[in-house]
Amino acid sequence: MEYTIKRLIIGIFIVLAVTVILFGIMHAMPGDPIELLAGERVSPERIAQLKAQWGLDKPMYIQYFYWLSRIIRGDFGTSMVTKLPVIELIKARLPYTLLLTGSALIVQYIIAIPLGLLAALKWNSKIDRIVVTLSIVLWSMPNFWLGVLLMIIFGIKLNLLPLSGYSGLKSLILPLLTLSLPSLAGTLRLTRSEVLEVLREDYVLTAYAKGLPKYKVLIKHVLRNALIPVTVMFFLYLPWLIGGSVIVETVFAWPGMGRLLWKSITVQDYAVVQAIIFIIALLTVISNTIGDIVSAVLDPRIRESL
Amino acid sequence: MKALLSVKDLRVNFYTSAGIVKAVDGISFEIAKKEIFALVGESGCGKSTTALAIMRLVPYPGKIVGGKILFKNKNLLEATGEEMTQIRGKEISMIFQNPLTSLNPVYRVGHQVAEAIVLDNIPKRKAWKKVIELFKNVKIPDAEERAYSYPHELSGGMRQRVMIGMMISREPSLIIADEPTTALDVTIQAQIIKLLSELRDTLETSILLITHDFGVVAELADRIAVMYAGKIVEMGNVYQIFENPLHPYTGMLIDALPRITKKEGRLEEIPGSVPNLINPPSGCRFHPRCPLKKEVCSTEEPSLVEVERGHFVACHLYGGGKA
Amino acid sequence: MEKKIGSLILFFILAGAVVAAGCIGGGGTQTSTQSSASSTSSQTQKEVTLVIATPEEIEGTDIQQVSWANIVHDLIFQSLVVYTLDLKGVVPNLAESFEVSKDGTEITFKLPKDAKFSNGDPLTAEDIKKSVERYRNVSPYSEDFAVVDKIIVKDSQTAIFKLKEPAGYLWAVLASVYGAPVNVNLANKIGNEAFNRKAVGSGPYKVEEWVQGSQITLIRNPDYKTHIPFVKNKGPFKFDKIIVRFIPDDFTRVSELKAGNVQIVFGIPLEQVATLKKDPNVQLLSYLQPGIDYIMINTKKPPLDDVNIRKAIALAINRKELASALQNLVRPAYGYLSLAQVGYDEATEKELQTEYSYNLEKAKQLLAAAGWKDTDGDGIVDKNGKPLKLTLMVPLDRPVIKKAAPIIQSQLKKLGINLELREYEYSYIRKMTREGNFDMAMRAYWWNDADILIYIFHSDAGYPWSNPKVDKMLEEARTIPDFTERAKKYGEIQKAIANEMPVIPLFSEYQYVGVRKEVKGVIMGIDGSIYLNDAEIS
Repeated sequence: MEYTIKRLIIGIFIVLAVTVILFGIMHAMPGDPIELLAGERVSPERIAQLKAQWGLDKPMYIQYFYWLSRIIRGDFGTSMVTKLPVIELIKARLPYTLLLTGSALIVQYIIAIPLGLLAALKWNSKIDRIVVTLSIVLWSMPNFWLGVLLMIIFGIKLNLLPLSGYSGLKSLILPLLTLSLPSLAGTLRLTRSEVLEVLREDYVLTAYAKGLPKYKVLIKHVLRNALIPVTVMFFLYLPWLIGGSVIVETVFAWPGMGRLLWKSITVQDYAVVQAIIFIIALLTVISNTIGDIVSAVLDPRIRESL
Repeated sequence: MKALLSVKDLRVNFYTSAGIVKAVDGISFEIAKKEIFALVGESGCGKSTTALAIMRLVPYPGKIVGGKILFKNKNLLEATGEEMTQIRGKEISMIFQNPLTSLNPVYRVGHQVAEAIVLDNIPKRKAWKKVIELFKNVKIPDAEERAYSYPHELSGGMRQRVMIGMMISREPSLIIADEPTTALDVTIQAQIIKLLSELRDTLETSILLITHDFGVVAELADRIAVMYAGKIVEMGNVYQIFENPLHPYTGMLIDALPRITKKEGRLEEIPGSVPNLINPPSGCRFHPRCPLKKEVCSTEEPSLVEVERGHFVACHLYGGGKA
Repeated sequence: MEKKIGSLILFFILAGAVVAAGCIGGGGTQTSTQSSASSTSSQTQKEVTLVIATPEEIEGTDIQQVSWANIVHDLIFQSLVVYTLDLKGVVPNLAESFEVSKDGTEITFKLPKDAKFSNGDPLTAEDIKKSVERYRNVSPYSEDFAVVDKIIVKDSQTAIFKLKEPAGYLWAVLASVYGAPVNVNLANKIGNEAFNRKAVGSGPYKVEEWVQGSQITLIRNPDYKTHIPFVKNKGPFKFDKIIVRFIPDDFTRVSELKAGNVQIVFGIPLEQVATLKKDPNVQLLSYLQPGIDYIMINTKKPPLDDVNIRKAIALAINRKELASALQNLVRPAYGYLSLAQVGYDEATEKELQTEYSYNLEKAKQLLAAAGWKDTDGDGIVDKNGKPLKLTLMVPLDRPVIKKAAPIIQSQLKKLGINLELREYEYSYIRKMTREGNFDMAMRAYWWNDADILIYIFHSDAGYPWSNPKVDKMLEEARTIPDFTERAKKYGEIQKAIANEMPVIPLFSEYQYVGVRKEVKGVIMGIDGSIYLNDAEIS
């Protein structure tokens, strides 16, 4: 318990450090949002006026403290580009991203773990070699390439699925596949190698020797141990659910957080970028701590070293 | 007296990329009820493989390719997977060599033992009670608390006791103990040996003891079979073997025992090394290392011959005629 | 114990997925379909929807709060007047009629009696006045109306703009969607933020729903009326709904067009032009950039302070070669205005073309006369032992300009100039040029009126070059009300500027809009203004 508290306190400092660094980087980038927005027809005086409106004329550390004091109270600020509250922008986009990344994560695990288990059990057989080759192929596919390919096949040539945008669950299929298939490979290989390792362990032999039926050995002894890294990885993965995938969201015009973050970075919409990164940083700290706790729960040997 | 376990001409091959390893190349022996039978030999001679073959747990790339294993008159090599699952743990159980890795690190030891007990449809609470009882039987102190420990919280000796407790929990007729004391230090060894011999009396089980340590054999075994390079070279009861070792290899094994009374005060070692089982030596497999070899030893393989009642040897010194 | 935690975790994940799906399916954000002429099960008629795709999402719906506008704003708002399709004059749109006083300082607009905003509120001269006032407060382009001294509301239908001086360039604002009246009363009532979400004008459509990041759905304004002479349909548009989807990826956007899911696509990438031209289902409308892409030179930095060097560079650039290398998707420019701009004068363009078209020999002579010769035979001219090396800032986010840069580099190499290319973001280049921190920089402007030149060539603009004579000419040109007169003046201005060559014109880019063949009646002006009044799906 006190370990958790210690971790969380350190985590808060990490989050603060991230926000400071981020703030520094964003403001160090040449140009600023007002200049980016304004076209040729805006005079320097008007630009200065607009900057003052947004508090951009104040020194950096004052701007940072304003921002920090507001975010602690839950005020995420206003987007300079859309003039809308950042929280509204996030609220509008987040469900779409979570739907996409969340379901991709679940699909990925549902497919990868049984396949990895199967491949490991039938080690070196035809099935295993097919699975390994498949995972290499999937791993080397860049997201955008796969997305465009799927779009061409299923959207254009076969005209089965919508090409882009959100229009109900049917439109989720292509971006979901694009997102989950490449990363599936990683989980699959990890599962397979972990299972292979565990299968060689003496305690698996013990389990058989005491008379447990095969399925019980596989689940209670093999999977229970082999899936520990995969499970912990799952938690470390969670914060990235929020960030979405910029590439997949761009290709499929999916109205998610990834696009929002990317666009806000390119136009230097400070408030949006800072809010999103802050949230991700916070979630990363929390989920890392949870990941640690989970690995301690799952593996009693780790509890000792804590 | 009908034997409990009768192994006839067992052959086990390992199909490796280097070639076919004939790990067990036609061995036969019998274990009677309430008998402690020791299978002795250097590492790599095929004794552990024999044990795994009896349990039908030979790992890939191994395969049982011939012979019969009759247990209570049923040929285990013809049993289905389901039947073997029923037999393992219940009729035949096995205690493994390395207690440090033989227990699952994520479950409490009591749970792991209970896991076996509940297979006999015993309700959880009763099973847990039995666990504690078992722990007491195998002399684990503070049994109630220790049952909640994780394996890494226990010493090697303690873990081996847990293993023993686990493998006797369902009261099998045959316990295979594969090098049960090798990984433990000497004082603990003595305790485990004592425990095992007590079990034979209290549970009325037979024990197949696999070991390379003749000292342990001397203390525990009723009958002994000496294995070399996948074959049994000598078999007899403990007195016969120790007082009258016939095969040169057996003699060297006994001489290699560190004995406090030995006048020379030096460990005798057996010259040479274990042969390659892909291409074993022709004729008698031991002949390259045998100080008493004759010419016929390199051409003809000797077969087991009964020299005195119940005492067999496979050596041209004693005939070793054709099978 | 471990089992319980595992199942708890699984439960949370599934719960999260369900909640997310619910958020999307349920309240507020809808599940819009982007089918074409779909028939929703409405009782009486089939509902006709037009789907348009643009690359970027709008910043907001309020034209007075955004820094750039697109078709969405064109559909929500209605300007008082519009340019004719050839940019040679101005015709009434919202206004029933308008009149310019003889001295050009007064413009009187007459509104139709029953003019309304799309939410039903009446649209009177008072609203025109309020709109301009709000624009001056809120818009980044507030100075657009600087020349307007005051607006007199003579009666509910008559608004008189009193100008400080005649201003021919004011039409550029009044004819654009930026100058369109907005429902200020509503904006004041609900606040700027809410108004930016759902602005109200008098355009052919009103905002039904804006799904952030995805699309905006507009429904028809049944009270819409226009006085534009060159459209047949003066009343409400023929589509019940128009959905504008934001699709940032070029390939995806064009694919949707090809698949027929989207009927009009803006921002056709140049790589796709050739294939789309051959596609039987797609018609490509094109217009020329209202503006030019150019090279700005830092006239304060030697050796570029020598006008002969600048002219030499201008003469060494082979625009024909550039155009063909860019697949003829650009039109060479020798003057500072494109034909898609008010104030363009064909005669001037031809003159400048004759004088400054590619002439490598002349360029070399100019360099030599200024003392630059290749004395060491390395292909680069030098003077006093120093080779002529210059850097050119290239905008990496402007694909066509970026493509032209290496070609210019090799062309200048033939002249003997070692040109180094450095890529930056466009906004950064603009900043650096304003600060005088550059040798040469590639830039562009987009505005359909010649007045844009004052923001580049006047000394107040803040760039290194200035010429008091040109300053005066630019100021005078602003006040000329007559279109032809003004064009002539700008001709003189362009020649005066070219004489000192602080800026080398390169070309204007062709822009393409993809329209499905089944959509008929789309009208486009030479500056790319789109009119969908007569459009319908056949």
